[in-house]
Amino acid sequence: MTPLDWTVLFVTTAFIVVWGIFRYRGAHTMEGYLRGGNSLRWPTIGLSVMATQASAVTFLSVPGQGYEDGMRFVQFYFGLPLAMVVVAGVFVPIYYRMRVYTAYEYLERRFDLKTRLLGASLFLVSRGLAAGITIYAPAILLSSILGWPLYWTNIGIGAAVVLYTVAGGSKAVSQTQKQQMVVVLAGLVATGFVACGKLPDDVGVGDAFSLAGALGRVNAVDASFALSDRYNLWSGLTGGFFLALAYFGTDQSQVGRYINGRSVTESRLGLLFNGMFKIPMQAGILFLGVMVFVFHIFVAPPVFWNQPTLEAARASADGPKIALIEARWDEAVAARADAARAFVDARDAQDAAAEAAARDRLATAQGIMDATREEAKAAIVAAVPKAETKDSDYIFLSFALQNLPAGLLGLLVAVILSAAMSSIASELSALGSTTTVDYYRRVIRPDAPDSRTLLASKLFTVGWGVIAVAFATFASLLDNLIQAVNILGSLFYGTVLGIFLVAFFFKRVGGTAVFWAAVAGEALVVACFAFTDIGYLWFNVIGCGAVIVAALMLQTVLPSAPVRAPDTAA
Amino acid sequence: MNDAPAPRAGEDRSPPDDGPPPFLGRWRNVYLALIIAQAVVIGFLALLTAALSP
Repeated sequence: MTPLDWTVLFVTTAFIVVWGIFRYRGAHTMEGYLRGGNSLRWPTIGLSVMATQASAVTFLSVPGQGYEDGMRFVQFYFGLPLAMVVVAGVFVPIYYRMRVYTAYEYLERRFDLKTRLLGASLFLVSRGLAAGITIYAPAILLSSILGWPLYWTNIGIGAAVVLYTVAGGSKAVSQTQKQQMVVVLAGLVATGFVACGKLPDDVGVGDAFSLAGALGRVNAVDASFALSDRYNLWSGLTGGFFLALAYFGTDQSQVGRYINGRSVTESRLGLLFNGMFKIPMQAGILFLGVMVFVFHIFVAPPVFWNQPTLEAARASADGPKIALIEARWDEAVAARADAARAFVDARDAQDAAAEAAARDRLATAQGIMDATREEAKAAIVAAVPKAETKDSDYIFLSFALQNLPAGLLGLLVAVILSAAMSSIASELSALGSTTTVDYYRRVIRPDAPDSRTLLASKLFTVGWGVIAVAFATFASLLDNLIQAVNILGSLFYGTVLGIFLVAFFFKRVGGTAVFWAAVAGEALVVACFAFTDIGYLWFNVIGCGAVIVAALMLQTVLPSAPVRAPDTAA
Repeated sequence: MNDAPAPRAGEDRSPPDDGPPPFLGRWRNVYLALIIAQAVVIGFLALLTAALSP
């Protein structure tokens, strides 16, 4: 990175952090700290909701996914707009009417304390572990590629977020997220223009689209149906809908973003803003990855994108074997580039037969490259046993490092740090508020004065920040656990959503029935995960449906649900 | 539009109402516009896929 890159990076991130601390410091009440005095307008809410979901991994991994797998991942978001309509129409007015600080507070009003604590516990476990990953994932990439010390990168990200989150509470989180999201979008658009501009002079954007299509990268919609297929139109519309409904409707890191709006209207508009722009934004980020793929048709890519690991493999006893594989890789890359030139020329000459022949050559060369890459990964693991073979997260940052002009690279790193901080801020804020409202104020110290509860909330936020940084620091030792944590989070959403949907739509079901139904639903989801190959998006449908059906069945054999008194909740 | 006053702190909480409010109400056209817009986006992506896939 050049001095200009460092200047852009430092000024951008430092401004947002310092501005967040000093502009919004001094929330003196729980209301001000947790709900920001309910002063936010819809643009802030909308950008805050988007920034919470889009972590740094989104901006590092998704272009890599577009490069490797094409645009099919965009189907993951197809159910989101409809989920936004349901959250805006059903969840938001209920949370406002109940005047809750956390989503789980509502569960006690509707059911009982044990159901509230069950919902809060599921959130704290899954989100508490995920918060560490939110810090660790960008830190490991930045340290690997830019040579930053991993330990200090983790601490730096965590400490900056804790400072402004504790200083200004929910309002500081939302307002800084608005700034961070602007940086993120500006950085991505600029990088997109550079990626398109880096194509050879005789390859236009139309040619690039056709080349990407010929190599299977323009696969945004797949209407075939298979339960084991992770991303297709049907899993996206159905499983994606339930996942988005659970995430935006019941996860406190999102609920905390929109219950602090000026009114129900502002919160609804913020959520609908997210529903309107989420699919185009994700399609744009995937398209960026596809353009990087087309760029590397003409500029030879490495056989393995994690350069430090590749270097280690080259230096090992298996180095000659790696060299042979790389030589075959170079041949296949050259063959693909030749076929691509022929394909573009045939398109320009409107020669359909030549175009079809070039398309076949392209596909053949790509097939050889794919097989060689798999062979290289196997050889790298044999040479460096601890090597992680998933290298797609390194693609976009490697492209940026080698091709972006001075200043823009600094902006892109600022984008990554901004995205990391915006997500971790929401998570820490939600973890702190849930611990305070659902445990401290409800179970541990119900009689504590507001000032003491506010102090406890800040301390809990700091505590969760320390846990997240500690987990991120030691995460490099726990690669399998990281994968387990990601799966763990996706296993809970269906069950929690089922609890909330029973609460909203089945008035005769009581707390005991829904509690045990949730336990049974969770057991079913875990069984599906352990014993079937069903794509994980479907777990949200299965868990939610199981809780609803089991709750209705259990309620027929249990005593009628007691009428809840309004003043029993915290 | 079906607006509501912002919640305020304190113990004076509204009594709970278990059921959801009227779902569509005056927001129906806004919701419909969002769904139609997203259907157009998905349709565009489907056409792009069909036109360019091998």
